[in-house]
Amino acid sequence: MQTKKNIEYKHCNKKTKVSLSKFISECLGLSLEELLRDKELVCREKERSIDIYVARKNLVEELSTMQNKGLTPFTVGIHVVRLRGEKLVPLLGLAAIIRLENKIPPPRGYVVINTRAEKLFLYGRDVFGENVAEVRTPECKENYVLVLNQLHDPLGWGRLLRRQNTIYIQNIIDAGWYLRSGV
Amino acid sequence: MSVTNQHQEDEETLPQKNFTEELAILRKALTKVIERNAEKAKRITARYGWIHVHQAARYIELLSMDDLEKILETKPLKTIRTNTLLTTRDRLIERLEAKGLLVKEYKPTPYGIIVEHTPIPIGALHEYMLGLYTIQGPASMLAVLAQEPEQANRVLDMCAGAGIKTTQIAQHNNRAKIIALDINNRKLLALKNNLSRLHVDNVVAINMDAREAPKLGKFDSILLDAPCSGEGLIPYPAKTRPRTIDDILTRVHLQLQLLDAALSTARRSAIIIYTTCSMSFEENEYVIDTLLKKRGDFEIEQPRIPGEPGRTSYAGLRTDPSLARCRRLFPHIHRTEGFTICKLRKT
Repeated sequence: MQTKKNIEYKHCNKKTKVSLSKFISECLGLSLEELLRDKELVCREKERSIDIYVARKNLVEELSTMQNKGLTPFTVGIHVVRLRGEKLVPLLGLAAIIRLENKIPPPRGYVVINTRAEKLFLYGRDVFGENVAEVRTPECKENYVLVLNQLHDPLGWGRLLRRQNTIYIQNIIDAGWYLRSGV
Repeated sequence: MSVTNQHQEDEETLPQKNFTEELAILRKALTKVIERNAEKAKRITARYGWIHVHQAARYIELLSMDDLEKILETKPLKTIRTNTLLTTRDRLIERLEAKGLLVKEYKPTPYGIIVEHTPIPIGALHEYMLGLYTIQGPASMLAVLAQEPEQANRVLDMCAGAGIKTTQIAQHNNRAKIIALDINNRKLLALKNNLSRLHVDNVVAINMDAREAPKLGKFDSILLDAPCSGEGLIPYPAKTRPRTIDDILTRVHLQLQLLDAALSTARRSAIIIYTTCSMSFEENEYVIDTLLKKRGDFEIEQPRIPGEPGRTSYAGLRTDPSLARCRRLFPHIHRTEGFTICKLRKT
């Protein structure tokens, strides 16, 4: 039984799709279409943010049927991105979708870190340049990068910063969050 | 399907069965069991203080004192389930062995791995965080194997919890529409995280009482992992709560209502897996037999998994012989947590 106001899931509007498409293209060099082959985007608008999910097309039809019956789903598919105003925050689910579509590594916007840094990153720490084995610079203003280990497993998202003559990866979100979230 | 048949199927009434009589019969039978086995039960609980004397009496009746002691002394295997959406069992075993774990295949399943030794807690490995596996008991994995959801179009997981079996269904069929229900919001939050961690994109989860599942329409395949006493975990003192017969009867009442709802939600020929992490007759064979007598619109099939046959008599109660097709798993025989898995087909 829902105690909060029921927030609907619906097809994302054009503006949201354009924002996401731009992010994926500029940061990673991928197209939204190639990630959404048999899937669709679903949005859930809250007061100050929009949560974007990716789910199978046939599941999105199911969603409409349920909502028409007055049922509000708790979640659908994989939660990939949160949009706060103009600011787009990639989530672990986006890395999952990229992996499911065999697009790892993407053409750009990723770093490969060594084993020592992998442990630290998964504890929520940032990564210093000397622990970065490979870097492909993104072409987006946010400078988001997909952080990979040496086996090319996606560990999470970071922001590529430059300090003096070296690079630095600021931890945005890492897979260790699944343990730290307390759920 | 003809228009007339479809109409008839959709018109099936919501389950509102009264089970008062059946619960009264069960209470009477259990009261006699407690009286009959009181002395032996006290001897058991003197040694194994974490179980209630009612539980001891019931399991002495179902099995024997000797078997009950063996169960209480046997720790099940520790297992994990490979996430075959991302990797293979062989590749995962290689990675885990490289990190110093001692592992081997859990052969009754195509993806289970037995963890014999690990230098790091199994839930803290990078491979876990990356979604390459999830922690799941050996008997728990067999429930979805019994379900065989590969050809289903619309699948329902009625009491999904954190989604461990939900994501297992998705491994078998990542194109079906999987609807997962749970009455507990916090568990659904864990389910949401597990969908992301395990890369599952074909599940929609709803916070609702599964007894209202008929509102969702008809399903081809249903998993009812019913809330139960948890007696399958009695080898573990920390995981076991003492249960009186009142506790058992409360659970049986809920299980009857849930299975009734599952049967009303199933299409003709749909498969329903009724399963509990309990070895009790009351929560398993008695529940199914009661619905079989009241509804008569399903048959019991033998699932293709290991296990002992279901019980058809206990405490003076007798069930339909087809209940022997259920499968029972025991710590002291199968090295699994105690579990009962029954495969039903709607007729």
